[in-house]
Order: sequence, then structure tokens, then C-alpha cells
Amino acid sequence: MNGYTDPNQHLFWLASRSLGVVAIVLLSASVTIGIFLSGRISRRPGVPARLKHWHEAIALTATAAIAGHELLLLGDKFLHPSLRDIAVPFAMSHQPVWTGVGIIGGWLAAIFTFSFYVRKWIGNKAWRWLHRWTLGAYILAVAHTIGSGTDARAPWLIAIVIAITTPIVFGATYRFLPASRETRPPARPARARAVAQAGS
Amino acid sequence: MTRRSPRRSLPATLAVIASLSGAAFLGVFGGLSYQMAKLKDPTLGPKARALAAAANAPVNRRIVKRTVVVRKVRRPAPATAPAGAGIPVSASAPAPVVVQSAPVPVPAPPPAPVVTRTS
Repeated sequence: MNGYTDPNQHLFWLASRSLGVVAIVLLSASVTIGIFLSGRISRRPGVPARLKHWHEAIALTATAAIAGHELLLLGDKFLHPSLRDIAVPFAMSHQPVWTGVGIIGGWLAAIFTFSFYVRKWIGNKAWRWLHRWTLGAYILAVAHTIGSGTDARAPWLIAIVIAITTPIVFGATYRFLPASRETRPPARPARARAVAQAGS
Repeated sequence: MTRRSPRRSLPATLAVIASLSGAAFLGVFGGLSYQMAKLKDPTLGPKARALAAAANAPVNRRIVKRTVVVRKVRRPAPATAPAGAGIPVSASAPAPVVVQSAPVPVPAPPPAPVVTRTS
């Protein structure tokens, strides 16, 4: 083992990649729960409120993981990016397009996560409209993982991406297909209010 | 009477998820480190991989052992030679003496025909 292959020489790089994998898994879990929540898949009492609770906690952890994924790169002495490189899209010299896509996805994920706490000020309608774009943030994150990810061709990462994307595809299809809306019973306003109050 | 299920507080749920995420992080980190140490990391390009492989390879020193074989032939001591014999006689059979008569002159071969080619 020497300088090229000694993991001690690449601690920040390896840690950033590892946290990136954790972040995409957490983000997908959060998006999956969000889609199931908005699709009102389960109507058993207490389940939506509990799902919302987990959705919030996972989204917060995912945002922290995304931030850590970027900040850890600052310590990498081979890539050596500046704060501007990791915060401004398309500013990094290393794979600017894919890192830029990832940075946009990261910012959007942070905005969507913290929009939950300003819901009272921006209004329910605006929050719902904003929250709908979370799926876009997830798509950007997956594009970043595949396009810029060092391990994009590794079978284990491909397996992870497929495993985490499949439920989102099914959930989104169920949620957005017009036919599925007709078969679902309409939400009762009283319960919807109760769920909203329990979640906020 | 319905019993309400106990609801976790947000910090408690965050702690659970953070712990699971930390464990996952350590697992991935360990795997990537192992991959890097085994020269199978995709970050290592072909050049770096070759350099690392060369640095990791054991140094082969070629040691040439030369052996000098000195062969000494000990001839048996000459037997008591007759007086007046100047030439020592070896124990082996004497070389046959070939008596050759004078060579018959061979006629010279005819000269090669001269071929001229125009063009």
C-alpha cells in the first residue's frame, strides 16, 4: 500500500462518497413516504400522522447528509474544491455539469425540507405546489449519482439505485395517474384536518 | 375506548434514523476503503493503478551466480621412457599416420560461358 492506494490519503473523498450514498438512500425514503402520504394509500387511523413524522425526520437527516456530502469534499486534497465550488452550481471544474445538477438537487432538497417549517407563512396551497417538485429534486440527485458518481458503474450502487427508485416509480404512477384518482375514495375533510394538525 | 399508540418525539426519531444512517455510512466507508486498498477503486485511473501496482510489487533483484569450473586433467606420470626417446609417448594409442601421395593435378574447369544481355 502506498500513497495512491492508502485509504488514509483519501479519507475525505471516501467519506464524502459514502455519505452521498447514504444521502440518496435517505432522500429516496423520504420521497417514497411523501408520495405514499400524498396518495393516501393508507387510511388507517394514526398511520398518516406517523408516516408524516418519519417523513419529516428522514428528510431532515437526508438534508444533513447532503450537506455533509458536500462539506467533506472541502477536505479532499486531490480535488481541493472551494466553498464556492460546492455551493454554486456548475462552478466546479471537476465534471461541472453533473456536480452542478447535484448541487441544484441538494439546494432544492434543503428548500423543500425546510419549507415545512414556513408552511404557516407561505400558505398551504403554495406549500403543496412547492412540495410537488420534490420529485424533481430526487431525479436530479439520481442523475448526479449516475452521471458524476464515482461508483456509478459498480453493481452494488446500480442495485441500490434500482431498489430505491422502484417504489418511487410505482408510487408516483399511482399518485399521478388519472385513473387511480377515480378509484380512490375522496379524503374526508375532518380527517385531513386532523392529519394536518397532527403533522404540524 | 381506543388506546392511542405512543408517539415518538421528533428528536427520538431523528436519533434512530441518524444511528441507522451512521451505521450505513460506516459500512459503505469500510467497503470503499477496502476497495481502494485492493486497487479496485474506480477513482484510480489506469496510470495511478499501474504506479501503485509497481510500487506494491516486490523488488526483484537478479543475482547471477557464476561458477568457474576449472578442469584439470592429470596425466599419468610417464613410464620409464627408453633412453634417447625425445618425444614423450602418451598412454593412448598413437595417432595413425596417414601417408599421402602427391596430389594429382586436377584440370581446371572450363570457363563459364559469357552471357551478355542487351536492353
